[in-house]
Amino acid sequence: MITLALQPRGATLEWPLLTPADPLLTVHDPVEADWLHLLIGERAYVDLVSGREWHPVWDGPLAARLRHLAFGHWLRAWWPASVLDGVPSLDRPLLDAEIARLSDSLDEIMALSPDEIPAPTPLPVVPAAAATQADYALVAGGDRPTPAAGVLSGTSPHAWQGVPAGRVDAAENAVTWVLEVLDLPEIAVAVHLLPGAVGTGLAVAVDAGGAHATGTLDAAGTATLILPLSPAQAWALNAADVTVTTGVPVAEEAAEEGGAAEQAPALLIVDATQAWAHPDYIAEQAELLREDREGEGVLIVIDSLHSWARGIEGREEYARLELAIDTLQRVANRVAAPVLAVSEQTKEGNRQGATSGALASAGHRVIGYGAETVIGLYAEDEELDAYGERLVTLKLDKNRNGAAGRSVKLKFHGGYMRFREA
Amino acid sequence: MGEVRPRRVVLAQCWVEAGIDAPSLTRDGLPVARAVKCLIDPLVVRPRLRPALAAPLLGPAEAAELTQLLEQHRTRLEEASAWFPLLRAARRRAKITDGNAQELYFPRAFELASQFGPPGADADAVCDDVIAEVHGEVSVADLTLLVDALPASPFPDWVTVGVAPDVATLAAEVWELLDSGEYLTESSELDAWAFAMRRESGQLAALLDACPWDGPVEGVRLSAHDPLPAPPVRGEAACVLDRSLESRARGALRRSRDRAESAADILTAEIARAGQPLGLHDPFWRATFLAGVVLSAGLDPLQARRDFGPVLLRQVQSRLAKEAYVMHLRRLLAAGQAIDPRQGKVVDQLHAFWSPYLQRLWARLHGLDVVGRSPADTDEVWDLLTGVARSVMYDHRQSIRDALEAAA
Repeated sequence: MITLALQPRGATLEWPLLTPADPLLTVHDPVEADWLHLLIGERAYVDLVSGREWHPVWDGPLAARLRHLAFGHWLRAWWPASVLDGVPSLDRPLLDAEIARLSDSLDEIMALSPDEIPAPTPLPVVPAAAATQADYALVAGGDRPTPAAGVLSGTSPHAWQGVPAGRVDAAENAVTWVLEVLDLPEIAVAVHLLPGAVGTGLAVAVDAGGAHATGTLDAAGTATLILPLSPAQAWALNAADVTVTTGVPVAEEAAEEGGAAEQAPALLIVDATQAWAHPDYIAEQAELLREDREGEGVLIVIDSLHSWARGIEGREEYARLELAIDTLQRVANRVAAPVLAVSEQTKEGNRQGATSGALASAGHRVIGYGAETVIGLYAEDEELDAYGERLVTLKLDKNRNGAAGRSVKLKFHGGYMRFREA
Repeated sequence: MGEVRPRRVVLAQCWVEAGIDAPSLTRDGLPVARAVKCLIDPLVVRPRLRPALAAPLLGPAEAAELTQLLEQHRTRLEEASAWFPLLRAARRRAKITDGNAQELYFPRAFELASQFGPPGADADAVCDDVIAEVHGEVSVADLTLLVDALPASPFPDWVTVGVAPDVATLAAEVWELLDSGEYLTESSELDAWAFAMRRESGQLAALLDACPWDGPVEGVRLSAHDPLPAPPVRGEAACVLDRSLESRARGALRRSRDRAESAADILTAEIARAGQPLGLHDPFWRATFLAGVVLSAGLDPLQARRDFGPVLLRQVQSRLAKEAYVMHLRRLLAAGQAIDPRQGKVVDQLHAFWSPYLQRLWARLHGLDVVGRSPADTDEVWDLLTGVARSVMYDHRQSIRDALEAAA
């Protein structure tokens, strides 16, 4: 998830980079954010300041200008310039001038904010510099350094988040290494820097066959580290045994997430809001998925139960739901995979459910009888907290296979559609 | 009461209705943010005199009063608007690029308009003088001589016998101020505690321990020594209450430049002030500083999910954490660490946020103390405590960015 962010006076705005969306707004101080009525409408601002429930009516063009500025800041930090992959660098003075001019045109909102850029007056005129190799990155892309021969050599990917912007080539293979075995095994690391960048001081760490060595890069982006291994051990290494990390180690978090993802079952999600899927087809797809994932567990998700049940013709809603649950149970038995059917409760049911654990409408009683387990999600409050999240309680309302009634507090982020434990 | 509208919108309307001929509205039709902050609010509206006009939402009655007020000041505002570009031209002549021109010269332009009316023939010379005064250095030569003449220890009565402080009561007072923002009185406990700090070690730790929270940050201290020694006569210090007499007096001199006090008077006053609890005369500023000490002991911007303590602490911490998160999004930091070795020092400071925070808070309170102001209400105290956190964060963000740009 790539996020653009902007910090105007008294608030923070965030947008996903890839999907168009209204900004995610965190108000730090409504009084300080005295421009906010421009973005969310006067009514919403008055309600916000008065401590009432407020509903933003977004000013689209203004939101777009703010997002554009946030995008400029993002480009400055994350543009994946790479000579190796032929992604040319952005012209920094030009980008900075554009950001400054945008900020200046939004002065009313950005003045006295953490993201205010002191506007250079007059705005800088970018000199037409003599062309350098970097300007021709697209044609120069094939020019790759040939690794020196050694006992072993290879390339390592580097974690973007761990190195400063504009320093290291963003290509997958920007970090190359060569292992030499002299009296002691020596590994020479070369990081492909962007034209004009200096590598001095960036951390580099090598893990190879259980040995660990750390150091820092020199200006040219190279470092030579001694591996605490015997020559015999070094000779026995494979390229796959060698991991080179540059910059701040940040990959662990991602690796953990990957680990959790591997344990999770393969998901078969039936989006019934778009079209009805026949039960035989669902069962068939589940089998195919299981084969594909070599015997991993499969979880069938029906989104949502009510819309799927609508595909069963000729009955009234109550009976349709009953039949739908019955059918899904048979699918579950046939492919030996659990089915998770998503269903909505009315506000009324939600309130009752939150207090007594009882399910409200007749429809929900049917679901309650038919299901092995009922997991309820109850929004505790409508208010977003400082992280743009709201408190949601996950409650095991019914459990045929163990104790019911347990609950877990979760935080839900609507913009990212993400739950995490509170 | 009729329909209320956002203050900015009302201000823009009143500005137009008052028929002021000064280019002060932006393309979105609102008054320039700094014109409001640095000129209209402090010099025309004066919120302490007219709190109703300072509210974030204004009704028709307030709008009428505001229009009238702006009409009264129309001539002066128009004249100030004529002075401002001349001041900016003088700034260019002096090749000054420090600071924000609007922030620095809007109030000056208004002063000039009050003093001289519209700019006359000698306007350029007047502006050159103002620029020299705004950016000039305080002459500290006579101060240095006076400081040299001081005895080695100008505080013979630094340590006195006194009652033992009731730390639990003091902690409860501070907590209340940070939690509800409704309680601010002269506290005898605070004074007893501050004097006890000079006699016995461990007073600060006792106070922080007496607060009902879990997990204040480690290492908060007000002085390099415990018990607290008298401030040194000169030199630079790392801890807030170790600030030397000379630097305190220099700060006071900067503050009272217009008041034509002699350096000797200022130094004498400063020695008296430094002998007071926490180096401040006004008991309310002392309470504010102590609240800042407790607040800063709970702040850790690089810790995203700290959520404990009194209301104000939660508010400030959540905002600082958001700032740090944006730095992370901007690739200025990685995993709560410096992304470039050159940023190391600034990032360490972010981890010990209390240190720059208390330095800055004390300096600001000292400045207010010197000019003899007291807080108007607890809102002002909360604004101050929050505002200092914000400026420290902005500074850090700028240094982190600068370190990165320098390295690139």
